[in-house]
Amino acid sequence: MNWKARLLATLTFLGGLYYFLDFVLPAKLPDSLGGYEFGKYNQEISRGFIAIGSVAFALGLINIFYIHGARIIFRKKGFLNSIALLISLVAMVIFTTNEWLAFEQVNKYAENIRNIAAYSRQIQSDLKEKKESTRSPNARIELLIAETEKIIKDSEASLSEAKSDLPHIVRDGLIQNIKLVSKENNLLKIKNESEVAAPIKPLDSVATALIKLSGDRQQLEEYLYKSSTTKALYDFVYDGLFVPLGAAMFSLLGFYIISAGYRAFRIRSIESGLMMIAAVIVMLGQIPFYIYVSEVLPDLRLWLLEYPSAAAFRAIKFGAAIAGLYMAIRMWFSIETSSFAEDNSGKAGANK
Amino acid sequence: MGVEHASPGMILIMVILAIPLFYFINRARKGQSLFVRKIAGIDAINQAVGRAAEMGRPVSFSTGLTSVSPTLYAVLGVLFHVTKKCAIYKNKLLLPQNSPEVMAIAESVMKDGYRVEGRLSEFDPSNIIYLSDEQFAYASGYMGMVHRENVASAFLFGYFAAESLILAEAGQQVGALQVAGSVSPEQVPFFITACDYTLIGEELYAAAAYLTREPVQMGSLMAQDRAKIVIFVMILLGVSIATLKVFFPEVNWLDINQLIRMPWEEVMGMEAA
Repeated sequence: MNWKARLLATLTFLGGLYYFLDFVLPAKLPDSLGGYEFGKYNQEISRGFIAIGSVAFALGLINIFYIHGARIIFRKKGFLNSIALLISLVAMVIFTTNEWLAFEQVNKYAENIRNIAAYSRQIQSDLKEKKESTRSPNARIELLIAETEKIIKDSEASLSEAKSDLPHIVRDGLIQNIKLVSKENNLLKIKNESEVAAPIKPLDSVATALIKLSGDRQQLEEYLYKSSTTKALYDFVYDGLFVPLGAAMFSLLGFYIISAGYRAFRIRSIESGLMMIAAVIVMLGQIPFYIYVSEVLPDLRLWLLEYPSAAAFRAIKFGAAIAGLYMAIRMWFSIETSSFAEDNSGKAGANK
Repeated sequence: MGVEHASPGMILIMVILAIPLFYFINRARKGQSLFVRKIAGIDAINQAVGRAAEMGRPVSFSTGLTSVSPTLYAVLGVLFHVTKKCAIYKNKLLLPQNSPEVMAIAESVMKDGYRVEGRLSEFDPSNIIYLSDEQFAYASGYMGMVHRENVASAFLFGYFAAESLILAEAGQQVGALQVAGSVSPEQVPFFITACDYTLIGEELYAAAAYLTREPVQMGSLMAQDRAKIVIFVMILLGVSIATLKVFFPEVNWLDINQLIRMPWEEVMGMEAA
């Protein structure tokens, strides 16, 4: 075994060991054994898998551009389909990215307002506890006032953008809260001029007003997002094209089941005869008109599904699970890779 | 119901099941011959590749929706064999892909197959086609590919869901000889109806061992059968105790389920006591 194979085998073993211990040991070891929690790094490891998956996804994209790009360049058979595919791919990427960015903006404004409210509360708390800060209280309050004024202007501008169909409750709430923030802000200004050292109460009022405003602002942004062209385009390509095309493919199953059923249920042997009888019972037992045939059909159907069929299903699952377990053990210990890899000399079992 | 952490009883069962694996692998490595019954579906793999070579039409190999998992490694064993055969007969082998991670691994396996047969120059990466990671987009892409390329043989190995019949019917429509193998029992009936040969459940895992006769895999295959006997005995024991409980409710019968599921805390508490 060369060093590369040895390194891979070691990493595979260590990775497998982590998950094996995570599964076989209790969620938390007793304190007498160190109290270690095995699953606590699972989230970080999952993020690593997501990162690897993202890199692999790029491979998929490269493959699409490579195959279809070559087909278009060399005008191979079906190159028009390739053009359609690449245009659709690029269009979908643009629409989806735009939609994602627009959706991110929805939360951004409200989040910003909440941050400023938290800043107001922080100043208040620092003043109460007489904590020192890198900025003077005056400078901090001035910054707060400036940011609050920006929010007021920005919210007024967004409100004017909204069309008349904006729900009244959102519009009225927003207007009322803009007024409230302005009022509290002004109060802060007065206090700031006369009583710089202790504007504790107005700071709290500003924070409360800002929190109220953030809720309405969120609703307004959601409304603007839903009525935007970006969202409309995204809905058109996703809900209007992608989903129905997927549904159309799925609906093909109905027709294919008929043709496959016709082939399968032709009585050519005892087995296919039994299958035919079972299928007829299950189908007739499923439909509401079974009553015209026999009252026992639903019970018979249920018996067929719950006993012979379930037993066969479980047998397959047991067999596959044991085989999967053994395959996993073989991979974990790197016992063999020779079924799908041979070393450079052509000798089977590179990792043996 | 899923289990997040194994109980000591479950670990004991896992250990009991793992013992035959190491024992039979050791026996196989020592050169002891192990018998494997004839599996028509696996024999048909060579037949399908040969047919495609005679007809001068391509072969397609789909791994379906298989992700990186033990199932994939079982499938790769078959892919490796099919690739080697295609390299020998100079067949075009198409590999439509659903998952980019699987695509990278499968490409490496396919390349290795050509290299082993000394035909690396004939390996064409453009035959590995990433279609889509979306189930039905993949199915429609596969259908189009099978019709355009007019494949002579189609292999459907791995994990499949609702798209299984769409894929199998596409092969039927072009008259391809189809061999399928799935670990999802729900899809097996669809493959049986639409494909010429179907490997059911664990037969998929046995395929690579059957094709290569490689000692580790042969030993593993033998061990699987012994493990099934263990499971069978456990089922019999469970059924017998459950039946006896009905007839003799006054007797305090051993509760196997409770014994297997007894959590660590309880076991440790018992030890402390």
